[in-house]
Amino acid sequence: MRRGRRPKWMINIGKERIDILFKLADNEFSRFPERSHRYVKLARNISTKYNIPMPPEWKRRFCKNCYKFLKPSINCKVRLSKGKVHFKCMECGKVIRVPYEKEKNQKRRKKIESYLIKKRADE
Amino acid sequence: MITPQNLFRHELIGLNVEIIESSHEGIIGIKGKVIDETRNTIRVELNDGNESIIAKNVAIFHFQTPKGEIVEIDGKILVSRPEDRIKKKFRKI
Repeated sequence: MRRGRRPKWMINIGKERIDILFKLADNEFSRFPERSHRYVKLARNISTKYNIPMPPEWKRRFCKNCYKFLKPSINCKVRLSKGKVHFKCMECGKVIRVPYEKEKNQKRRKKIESYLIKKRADE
Repeated sequence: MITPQNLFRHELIGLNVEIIESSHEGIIGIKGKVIDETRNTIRVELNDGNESIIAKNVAIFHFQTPKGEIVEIDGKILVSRPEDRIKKKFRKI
């Protein structure tokens, strides 16, 4: 075993625990926001200890500056501008920017392809 | 999946719990849902809305898995930080 690497069964349990904690945080946020911030902290402890990357569906659901749980439209603003998605944390004011250039190009490619197929059909 | 074999390595938050035996008589019979965990204690939300903090090493717990199975665990096995419990070794008695 390399340094810092864990056996597979440990990583599987860790992944399940992170998923359980984030689901609970999402459910409890409306009544007890303090609890959901605490669950994010526990989930991050597991992910840093066992070298588990955050799952993609929960990656943007906490602030990377103050580590608080984010719920869009309540304590988080989501906007599109300049080819990026902006997530603004309303607790500390930090903005996370994630580019969506790939999706843009894919959409453009699809449009051109469909146009070409139409042209061939006409000929 | 939370099974009776890996429950002591898995997440306790969100499970239903009942205390059946303890050296302190006042906490026997407490029933509720686990909402927080530290190295030595768990925090339980009771059915009437109040919360109570319980030390792990003085009690025997009945945990209920999401499938409905009931598992009896001695609290002394659970004493360690929540993220360290995954790699804890334990021999069955």
